[in-house]
Amino acid sequence: MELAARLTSGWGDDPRDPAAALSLNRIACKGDVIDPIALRKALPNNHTIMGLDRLFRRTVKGFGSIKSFVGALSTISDNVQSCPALICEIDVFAYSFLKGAKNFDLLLPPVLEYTAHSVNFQNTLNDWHSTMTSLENFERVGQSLPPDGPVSARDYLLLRKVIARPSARDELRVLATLLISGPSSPQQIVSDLGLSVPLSKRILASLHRTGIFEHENAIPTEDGSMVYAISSASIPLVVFCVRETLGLDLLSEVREENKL
Amino acid sequence: MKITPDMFVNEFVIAYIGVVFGAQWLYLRHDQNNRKRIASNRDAQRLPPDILLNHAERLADRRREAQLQSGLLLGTVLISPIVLLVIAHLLGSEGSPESGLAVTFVALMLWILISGTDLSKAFLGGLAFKTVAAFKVPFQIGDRVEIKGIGGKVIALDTFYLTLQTPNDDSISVPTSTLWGDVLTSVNGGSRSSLCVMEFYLSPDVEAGQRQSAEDAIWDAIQASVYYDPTQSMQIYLTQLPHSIKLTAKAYVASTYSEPLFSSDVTRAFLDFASKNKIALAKISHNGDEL
Repeated sequence: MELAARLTSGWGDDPRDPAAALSLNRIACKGDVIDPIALRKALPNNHTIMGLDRLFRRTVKGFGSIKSFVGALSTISDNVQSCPALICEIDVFAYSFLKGAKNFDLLLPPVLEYTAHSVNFQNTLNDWHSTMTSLENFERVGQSLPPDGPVSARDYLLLRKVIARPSARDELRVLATLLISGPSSPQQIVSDLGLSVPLSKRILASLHRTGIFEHENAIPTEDGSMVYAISSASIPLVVFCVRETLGLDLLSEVREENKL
Repeated sequence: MKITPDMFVNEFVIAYIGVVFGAQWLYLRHDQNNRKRIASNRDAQRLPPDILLNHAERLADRRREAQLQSGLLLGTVLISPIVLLVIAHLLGSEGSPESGLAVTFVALMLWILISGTDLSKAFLGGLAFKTVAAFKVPFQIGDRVEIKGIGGKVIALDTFYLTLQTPNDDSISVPTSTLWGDVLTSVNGGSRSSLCVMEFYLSPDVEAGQRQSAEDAIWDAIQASVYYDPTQSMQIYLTQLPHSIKLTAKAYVASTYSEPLFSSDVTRAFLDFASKNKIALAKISHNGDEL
């Protein structure tokens, strides 16, 4: 049984679902160690694990859970040869980061399949790329953005006003964290980035006014608490801004690999 | 062949000189109009004057511009006398314009190459450097470079000056034509990311487990930093010095301008780790030497 990664966009998966990585990790975790037998028993019948990215945060201690979990999965997959591939759904930005930082694609290669999901995902990547090219032309030469595009000039200028300032260091760090680590509670943003609580509140409030966040309660969490997440429509806008300011090009490698 | 003043007093020689200088003047006007149009478009879109993009000019655009400008100069100097000669023969002009055109061509080349004014030398040298720079990519606009002992971000590269913005926000203009003979160091070589080298010093008395933990802490701190470029490789080396153990971390920062922030992030995380785990650091003097 092989392990494979199915890349997803957006963070709509429910971590309380029995097929979610968070649920499975909770069931199989014994102290600091994952029990592969318990994990094997808890695997969903359709061999698809959702939301693997929820086990990862881009912090000093944030890699441990996902590494242990995938390590345990690879032990199971080595022992069971007769079943179809075990698919792990993971957000594209988390995967892109883990691929570069931890060679994750060697353990969890992207699945090559021609399904409705893959076609939709490829279309999403193409749309993002197209939007980012439009934003680049808008910024460089003032070329108008497509009127029916997901991002309007108003949306872009609102966010640009916040992140273009030389003092916008922490705002950019928050955006990068939300892209790579995914939906984050205010406490997670404070501890991951070492910000003070009042500062984090100010930053989140100013970013919230730009309209890039998903509606509160739109992202399901394990304990029902409120988290901040980039809305699907704003993803290309945020990826563009993070690329042009911090230099992080999170889609450069993923796009080529996922061409159908 | 005897060179006389009458040789140059003909419409073809005048046309030749007019084409050469006129073409350059037209190009400059076209470039100025283009920039004004872009500024006007951006203003209409309510964009502020500063450009947010990591590289304000596309390398492909700069290549096209350099190719056009140098092609225009070469084309007008080399090809237009031949075209004018053909026209003269077709029109059956009196006299022998070829002599005047040939002498003008040679005079133009000699004047430019040997005894031309500083302005024309600066123009040609700068244009040549700009063209080569566009295709060989030693750097591009937005890069961090060091030239003539001056380090800074390249703000503009035109035919006459290369403009750098130093870390202290000074603006330095270096004549482009003088760059041929100088060593040019580019920190990021046209790409967004650049290598960042960070050094940490442990006391020579630390135990093996502490050394490994310190190395792991630096590794994790680098990967946890938002400024880190995960698509590039990362290395940590240990070196034993007389009074310390040096850990050298080499990792790529995603945007070269964020190098100080990246280094600060990793250093802060390492110092926090050392303090929390009571790992002794070596004492280093203010100039970086061991004590």
